[in-house]
Amino acid sequence: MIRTENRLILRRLGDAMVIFDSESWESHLLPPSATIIADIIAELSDDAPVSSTVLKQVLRNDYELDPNSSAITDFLGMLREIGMLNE
Amino acid sequence: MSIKYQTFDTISRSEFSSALQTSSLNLDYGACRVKVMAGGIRFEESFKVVYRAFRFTEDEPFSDFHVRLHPGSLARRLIRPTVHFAIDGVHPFDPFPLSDALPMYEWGINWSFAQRFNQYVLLHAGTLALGDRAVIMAATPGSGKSTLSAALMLRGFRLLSDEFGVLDPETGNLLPMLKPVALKNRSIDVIRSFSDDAWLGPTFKATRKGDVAHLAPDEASVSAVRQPAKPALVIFPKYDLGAELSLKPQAPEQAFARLAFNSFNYALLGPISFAAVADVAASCPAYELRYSRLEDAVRCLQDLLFEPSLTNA
Repeated sequence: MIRTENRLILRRLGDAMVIFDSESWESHLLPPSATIIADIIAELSDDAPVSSTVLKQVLRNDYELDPNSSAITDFLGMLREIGMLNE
Repeated sequence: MSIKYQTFDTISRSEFSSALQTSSLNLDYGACRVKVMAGGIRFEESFKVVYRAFRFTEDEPFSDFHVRLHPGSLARRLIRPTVHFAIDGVHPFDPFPLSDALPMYEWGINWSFAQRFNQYVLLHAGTLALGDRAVIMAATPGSGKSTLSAALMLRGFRLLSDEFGVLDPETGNLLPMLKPVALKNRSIDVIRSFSDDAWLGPTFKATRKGDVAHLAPDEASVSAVRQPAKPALVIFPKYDLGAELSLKPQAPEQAFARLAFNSFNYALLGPISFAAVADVAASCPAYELRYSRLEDAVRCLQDLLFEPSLTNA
């Protein structure tokens, strides 16, 4: 179980991830492909929110992924919506 | 030295009626204990049948609920007689026809348990065990989970509940909430013909949920009513008329979502239920089971619970 900012509780289930938001008490389910990015965010977060700009740089430079591709844009939107990512 | 206890089927009707009228009838369901008082509603015979294997104890120092069934006012007793359900002095429901006292009691206990026992994660699921390994059969109403629970008990599984998966978030174990299995409509005759060992109470015709009859839990299940079991398998059953048996594996995240959806109090318990349900989804293989023949489904679940990968877990 991973905690980010003491707000989100992340739990890997197989290749996917479930998330509990302790502010809204909502649970979220991330598909495996979005979970890869959530893992990267969890690594970067270190108790502080991660910005979209920083994440995009890391995705491009460290993982050689195109952060502006439609799939990754969708995942980032999903992660922003559940509070894992700042603008 | 073993101690022989009196059970409901061995005590006399007069002794039973007397205990009911003096509030000294106690029921140990496993996860909760209930003290029952009833007079003037004539349900002793059917009650004794469906709780036949339960231990009769008159002096119980603690009960979670005090339930009273009564016929209401004098006028009500004379014109269209009804039965009223009170829990700890509160009447949460409209009265039922007097003839439906047993179904009212059973639904009343289910409702009270689901409302009040939020120290546990309550899944809407049949739960049964072989040894200490339990199968959780989570499903929406009408999926056939009570019928399948009844069939499994009649083929040697220990019944914990046909309605509740009582998950203790501290231990991760399942607790029994052992009550008679409520069978509806065609399931009544299906189970009656499934086994000669089926002890069924009377059929209550045209209740709010159709025809209803209750199957008595067997002695083995009752004698283990205080024994928890460890979740080992998750099944999402669906009766499908004429279908060949099929098993569709469910990814852990699918199992998580379906278990959370089939919970009475997932949203209420927040992080507690999140962690408990995630633990089950992570540790138990999960399948969607479609079936039409009970014997096939029973054999399939026996095989799954005895799979080496599960028994070594």
